[in-house]
Amino acid sequence: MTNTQNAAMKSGYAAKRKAANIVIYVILSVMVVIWLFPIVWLVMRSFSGDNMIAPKGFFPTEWTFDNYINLFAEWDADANAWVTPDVFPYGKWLLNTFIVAVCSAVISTLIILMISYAFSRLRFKTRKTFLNLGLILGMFPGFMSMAATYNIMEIFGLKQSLVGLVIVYSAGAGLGYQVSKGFFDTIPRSLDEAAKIDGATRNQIFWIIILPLSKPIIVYTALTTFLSPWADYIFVSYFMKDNVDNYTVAVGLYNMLEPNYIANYFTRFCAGAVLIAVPITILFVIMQRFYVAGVTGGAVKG
Amino acid sequence: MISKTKRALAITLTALMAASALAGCGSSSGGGGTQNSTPASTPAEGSAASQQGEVSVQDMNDPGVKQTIISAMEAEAEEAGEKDDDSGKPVIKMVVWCSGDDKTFEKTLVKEFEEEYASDKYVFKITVNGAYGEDKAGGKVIENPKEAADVFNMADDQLSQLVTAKAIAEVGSLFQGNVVANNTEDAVNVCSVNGTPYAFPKTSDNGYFMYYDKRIFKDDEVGCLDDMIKKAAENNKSVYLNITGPWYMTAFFFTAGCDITYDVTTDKQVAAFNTDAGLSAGKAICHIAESQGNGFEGSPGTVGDNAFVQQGFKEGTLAAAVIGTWMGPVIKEAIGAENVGAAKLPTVLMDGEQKQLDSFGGYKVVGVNPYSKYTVSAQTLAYYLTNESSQLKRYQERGLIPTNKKALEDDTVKNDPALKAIEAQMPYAHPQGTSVGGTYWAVKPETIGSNAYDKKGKLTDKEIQDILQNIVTQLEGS
Repeated sequence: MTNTQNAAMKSGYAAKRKAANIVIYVILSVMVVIWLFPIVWLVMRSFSGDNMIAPKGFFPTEWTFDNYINLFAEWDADANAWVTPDVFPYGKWLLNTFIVAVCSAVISTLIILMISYAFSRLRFKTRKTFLNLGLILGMFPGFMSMAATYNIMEIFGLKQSLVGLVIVYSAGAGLGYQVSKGFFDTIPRSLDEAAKIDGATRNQIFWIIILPLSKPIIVYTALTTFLSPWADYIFVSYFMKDNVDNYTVAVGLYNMLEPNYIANYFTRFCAGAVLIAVPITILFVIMQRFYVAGVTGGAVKG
Repeated sequence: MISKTKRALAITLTALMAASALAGCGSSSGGGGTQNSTPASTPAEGSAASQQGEVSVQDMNDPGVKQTIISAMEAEAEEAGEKDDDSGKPVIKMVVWCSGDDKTFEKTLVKEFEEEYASDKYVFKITVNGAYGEDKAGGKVIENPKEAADVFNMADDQLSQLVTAKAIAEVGSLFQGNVVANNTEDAVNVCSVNGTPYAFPKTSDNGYFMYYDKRIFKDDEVGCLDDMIKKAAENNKSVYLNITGPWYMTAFFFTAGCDITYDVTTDKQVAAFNTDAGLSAGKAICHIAESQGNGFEGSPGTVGDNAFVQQGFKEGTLAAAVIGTWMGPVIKEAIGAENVGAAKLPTVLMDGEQKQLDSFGGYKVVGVNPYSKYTVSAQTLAYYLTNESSQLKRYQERGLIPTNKKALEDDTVKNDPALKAIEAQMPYAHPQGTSVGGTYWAVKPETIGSNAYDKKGKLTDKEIQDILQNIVTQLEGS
């Protein structure tokens, strides 16, 4: 093949590739617009001073930060001071959710990793039975046993409390072993054996050898367990009953949408929704770096 | 549990006897009622209002009566056995459920109550909780009465279910006389089951009527819906009546004379939609739906009635709306108080003639939990929250129409346009508790309205009959 032929072919490829790229980018852009529209709309509503749900225009007629401020403090004209909102104490809910999410993330991650490690490395008589049992139990939705859980918590004096909520969220964590067990299975057993020869116990092998190699799965488990309390509505609304001060943001925000309140609280609801998205997004961005680093690092070593 | 109930009963009876004994000497200005000291044994049949003479009417401001109540409260605080950490005194610990938007206001009333019935032998710890409003409270109490609030606000239609579930206490004998004598007869009847008063009437406005923009309609132009729609269309605005909402849509079937009744004891729901009257109602709905988008709005879309009405008046797309007092302040804010008019519902075209549109009318009432550890305190609080001065304050602060006869005669209340509209609508209003139960809402009777809305009223008689027959079949099946 001559050089000219070569060049012609190359430019032909380039043109083709360019055309393909244009098509792909156009499709992607359209999808991005469709996908982002509701989010941008929500953000726009959250800055709107008109308190309307679906006004004619996309952009607010009056811009304001009040919706955000009112989530945490309302101006009480009688007392001439800022007071914490009485009906919807969003700040408190945010703190509750954060505490529950952090606690249950830490506890659940530990439980899940330990269980997965045991299932992956240890060979014991009822291993298969437990694996199957866990799988079947995991198929039932957690809120199925809501009423029973509530009564049990009542016996322990933990009903309608944040501690109770953390316990409930963490207690079922063991059933989520599948993904991390799969991950541990890919770490060569020869590492365990080498450590054993050096005199390490099972416990030491888990903490010192295996965990440092498992960053991606730790991050993945922590992220998923951290996120679930932010989105769980069914259980919390049943568990907390009328204890408004112990609500999490999911229940609290949903209450703002009730027919009695929606007319006055919709824009505030939008502001609340935007605010929750911020910490979660930040967390994701930070954690994702570790996540990617973990995966590639693991691949090189493996 | 049994011993607890007995104890509470004993305390209440003691209080009652003491009060009756005092009634002779203490209450000279006894509110005009008779001073008969017969205790309220479970009354037989007949309306509660007719029993006015049998129960004593106490003057609650009388120092003797008040002291009796306070003594009873002291006894039950001691009995309950909970002590305050700081002072070591017995605690009266109660929870009040109310609607979230009323919370701030109800708190001020509770504070007044605490001052009014203060004693150095106990400390009040009363929490006002806005989690379960009038729409939900009854259901939540039935779900688990032992965990529910001591005093709760609710809509009157939940009463019969609460009574059947034994999840609401009778109005204490000490207060019965006052409740019956001081509130309108209709309100008392709604608060009674088989002649026994179970709840304290609070407001009389849990129904709907019409708000309109006075700049569009003159006061004599709001009588006929068809005319209103025409006029609104000329002004590029709309009249709003939610024909896709079961609560509003049922009005047409009442108007047509359909038999819609609910018997709580047998849980039997009758809704005779598969009749000629039902067809007339269906056709009337379709007739209005034809104007959809052209002077008429029949559905709030996804945002709900309240938000839709608020937005409509704010943006100037609505000229009139069928809704209740709870939207009064919002509409006033949107178009200016001087432009807001209120009237009874307009007439609709049915069977070729104009007929006055009926409605649901209802009350908001206060109930007391029979499992409360502080029976006397809870009863007294419930009474206090619904007495004349509280109802008047509630009107002034929250715009809610009283049931108390004297409060209704107050000058500020008497001339309220919303009150006049409610009173004008009253003869055409049907009580919810005896008309419909949970099954009625569950079978989605509004399918006729939403179908008419979707097809802009283009439904044949056969189609209407099929839809209505379907609703009735479902009702009978459930």
